[in-house]
Amino acid sequence: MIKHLLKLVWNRKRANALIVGEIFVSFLVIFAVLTGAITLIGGWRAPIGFDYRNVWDVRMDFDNAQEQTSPEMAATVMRMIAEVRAMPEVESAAISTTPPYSFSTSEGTRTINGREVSVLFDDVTDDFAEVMKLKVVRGRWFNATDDAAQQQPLVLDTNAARDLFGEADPVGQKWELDENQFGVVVGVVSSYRKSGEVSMPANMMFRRSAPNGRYGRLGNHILVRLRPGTPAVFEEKLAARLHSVAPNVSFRVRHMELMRDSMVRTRLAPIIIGGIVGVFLISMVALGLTGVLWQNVTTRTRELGLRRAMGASGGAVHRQILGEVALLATVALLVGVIVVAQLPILGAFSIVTPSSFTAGILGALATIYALTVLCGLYPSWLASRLQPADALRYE
Amino acid sequence: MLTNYLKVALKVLGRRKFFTFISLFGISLTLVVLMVAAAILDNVFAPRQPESRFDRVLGLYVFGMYGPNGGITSSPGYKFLDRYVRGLPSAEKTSLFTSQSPIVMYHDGRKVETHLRRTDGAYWQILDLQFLEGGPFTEQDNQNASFVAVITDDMRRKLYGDVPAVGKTLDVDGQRFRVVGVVPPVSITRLAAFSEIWAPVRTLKSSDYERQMFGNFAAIVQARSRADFPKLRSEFEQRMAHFVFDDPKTYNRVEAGLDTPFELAARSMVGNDAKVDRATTLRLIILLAALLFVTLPTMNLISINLSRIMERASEIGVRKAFGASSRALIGQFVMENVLLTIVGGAIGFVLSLVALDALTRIEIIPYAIFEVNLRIFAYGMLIAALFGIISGVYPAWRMSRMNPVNALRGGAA
Repeated sequence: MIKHLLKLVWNRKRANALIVGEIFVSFLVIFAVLTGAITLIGGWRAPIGFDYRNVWDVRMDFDNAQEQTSPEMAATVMRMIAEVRAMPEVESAAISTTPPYSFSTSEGTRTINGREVSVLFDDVTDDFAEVMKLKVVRGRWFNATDDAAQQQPLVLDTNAARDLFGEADPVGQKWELDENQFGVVVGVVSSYRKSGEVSMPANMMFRRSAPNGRYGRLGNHILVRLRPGTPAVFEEKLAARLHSVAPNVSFRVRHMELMRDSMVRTRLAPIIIGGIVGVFLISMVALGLTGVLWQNVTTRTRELGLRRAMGASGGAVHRQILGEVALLATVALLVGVIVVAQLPILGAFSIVTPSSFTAGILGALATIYALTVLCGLYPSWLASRLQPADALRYE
Repeated sequence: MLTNYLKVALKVLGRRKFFTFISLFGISLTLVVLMVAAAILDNVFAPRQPESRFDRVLGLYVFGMYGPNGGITSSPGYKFLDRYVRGLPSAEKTSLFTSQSPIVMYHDGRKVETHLRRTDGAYWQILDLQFLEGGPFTEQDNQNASFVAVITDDMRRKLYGDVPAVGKTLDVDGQRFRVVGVVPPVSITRLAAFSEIWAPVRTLKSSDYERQMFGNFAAIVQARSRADFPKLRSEFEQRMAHFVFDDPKTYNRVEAGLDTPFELAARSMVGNDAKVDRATTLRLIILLAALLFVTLPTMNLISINLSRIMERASEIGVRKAFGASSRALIGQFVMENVLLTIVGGAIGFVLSLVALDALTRIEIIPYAIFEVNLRIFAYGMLIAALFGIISGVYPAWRMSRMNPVNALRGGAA
C-alpha cells in the first residue's frame, strides 16, 4: 500500500516537490516559535534563586567604566548605604554591579579542557545574600572574616559549580579572574537566574566587593530590602535622605517588581511577534495546501474514477488521498527533523534546554500532521464522492 | 491585445474564487508585514522632525579602546568628545550632550517617571524642536550653569495641568529647575532628540565628567551639506590617528566614528570592533530576513499558480494549437499574475495603513507616529511586482512547455 502510494507521489514529483518544500519551511517556523515558547514557559515555573519582592534598586549615575572606584566615591557610597540601613523601614541593603532584572551584564569566557565556558559576574557586598534571599547550599556566603583574605572570595551558583568544577567539591577551588590574579570559592548558592523567569540558567559567579573598594570598582546599584508593607510614599523620603547625604550623586529609585515587568515584556515581545507572523504564514500554507489538493483531485478525476469502477470503495479512495498527503508530509518532516537535529552541534543548547528542544520538535511534528490531514479532508471527501460513471466520462 | 489579456485575466480570477482568495490573502498579508517593518525602520532611521536636519548631521555615540587583553566599548565621555570631535574644520556646528537617563520625580506627593538629558546651547540649533511656549536655553545659560529646563508638553500636563509652564519650577534628582520652554513630545526612536526634560550640561552635580574619556555623553556634528560628510570623517580619522594613550600597554587601538543613525545601529549590532563594513552587513541582514520571510508566501503562490494552470490546460492547448508562441503565453500568464499581485498589493497597502494607525494608537513606541510615505509605498509596490513576476515565471514556463496534444485533452503531463 505504502509502496503504491510512493509510486503515485513520485509520478507527480514536480508538483509535489513544492508542497514538500512548503511543509518543510512551515515545520521550521512552527519549530522555532514552539521551542521559544516552551523554553519560556518551562523557565517560568523553575525557581529563579532569589526574591525580588519588596526590593528597590537605587541606581547611581557614576561612571562605571573606570577600573577603580575613587576613594572619595567609595566613601560617598558607603555613607549612602549606612544612611539607608539606619532607616526603620529598611531590612537590609547591599551593593551590586549588575543586579537582577537590570539589562546590564558582565560576562567573561574561559577555555577549560578545550571547552568554552562563559560566566556571568556580579560584584556584591556581604549583605547581598540577605537582600536577595539567596539560599546557600554549600560552604558559606561572604562575611567580615573575608576582609583578611589574600585572594578575592567567590561564591558560585549551582550551575557554575557544576560547569566549572564538575563533580569535585567547588569550595576551596581557585579561579583565575585576571592574569595571575586568583579568587577562591567559599560557597555555592542555589541556581541563580539573573534575568529571572525569562532567562536560561547560566553560570553565575559572585565576587566579593569589599567596602573599601580593595578589589577594584564598586557597583553603582544599592539594593534595598524593605519591611513588608512599607508604603510606596516611603520612596520620596528615601530619595530626599539620599540627596541630603550625597548632594553630588545623581540616582534614581526603581522597584524591582517593575524592573521584572519590563524584562518580561522585552523577552516576550519577539516570541509574540514571531507567533503572529508564524500563525499568518501557517494559515496561508494551509489554505494553499487545501487549494492544491483540491485541484489535484479534480485533475485526477479519471484515475480515481477508474479505481472506483474497479470496485474500490469511497472510503478506500478517501484513505488513498489522505495517505498521499501524509506521505508528502512525512518526507518533508524527515528532512526537517534532520536539519533541526544539527542545531545542538551549533550550540543551540545555550539558548534552549534539551527538553524544550525535543518538545518543540514533537509539537511541530504533531501540528504539521494535524494540519496537512485537515487540509486533505475536504478534497479527499470530494474524491470519495465521485461516481464511477461520471468520473470515467469526465473530459 | 492588452485589453483582451485583461479581460481573460479577470474572467479567470472570477472563475475560481477560492484560489483567488488564497492568492490575495497571501500577497496582501505578506505585504502588510513587509510594509509595517519598512515603516518602522523608516521611522527610526530617516531624518524627520525634530531631527529633520539629520540629512547633514553625523553623530558619535560609541567609543572603544582595545588592547592585547581585550577592550572597553562604551559611550564616550566629555573629555574625549571635547578633545577629538569639537571644532572639526568642516563642521558648521557641534553639540555635546548626555544620553537621556531615566529618572524619577516626586511632584506633589506623586511619583513621575521621566527622562532627563543635559545639553549645551548648540543642541537647540541643530535639532529643530518647535516651541509651543517660551524657547530654548542658550550656550550662555549653559556656561553660567543656570538651572533652567525645557520640558515636553506631556510633562507640562503631568506636572502642572492645563496651564502655561514657563516660569514654573520642577524638582528633579535633588535639583530645582525653572522651566523656560515647552516642546511637543519626542519619540523614543529619535536617538539624539528624545527626552522629556532638558537641562544645561553644566548643571551636572559634579564636574568629574570633564576628565572622563568614557561616560554617558554623545556628540552631533552638523555639516554644511551632505557632500561634506567624507571631509568631516577624514578630519576626524586624522585626529584619531594621533590619539594619545595614557597607557599604551593596556590599550593601543581606538575605534570610533561619525555615524548616520543607520550606521550607528550597524555599529552597535555588528560590533564596534568588527573589521567589516558594518552598514553593508546590517543592510544584508535586513535583506536576508525579508527574503527568508517571503520564501513561504512565494512557494505558496507558485504552487497555487501551477494548480491554476493545470486547470486551464485545455485553453492553453487551444491557443497552442492555433499557433501562439511560448513567449506570448508566458507574457500573458506573467501579466495575469502581476495584475493579481497588484490587486493584492493595493489591499495590503490599505491594510498596512490600518495596522500602522493601530500601532501608533496603542503607542507601541511612545510618541512614534508611523506612517506610510511615498518612498515606503514605492518599495511596497516594487516588492509586490517582484513577487508577482517571480511567482509567475516558473508556472508560466511550465505551461508554455505543455504538449498541445495532451493539453487539448486536459491532461497534465
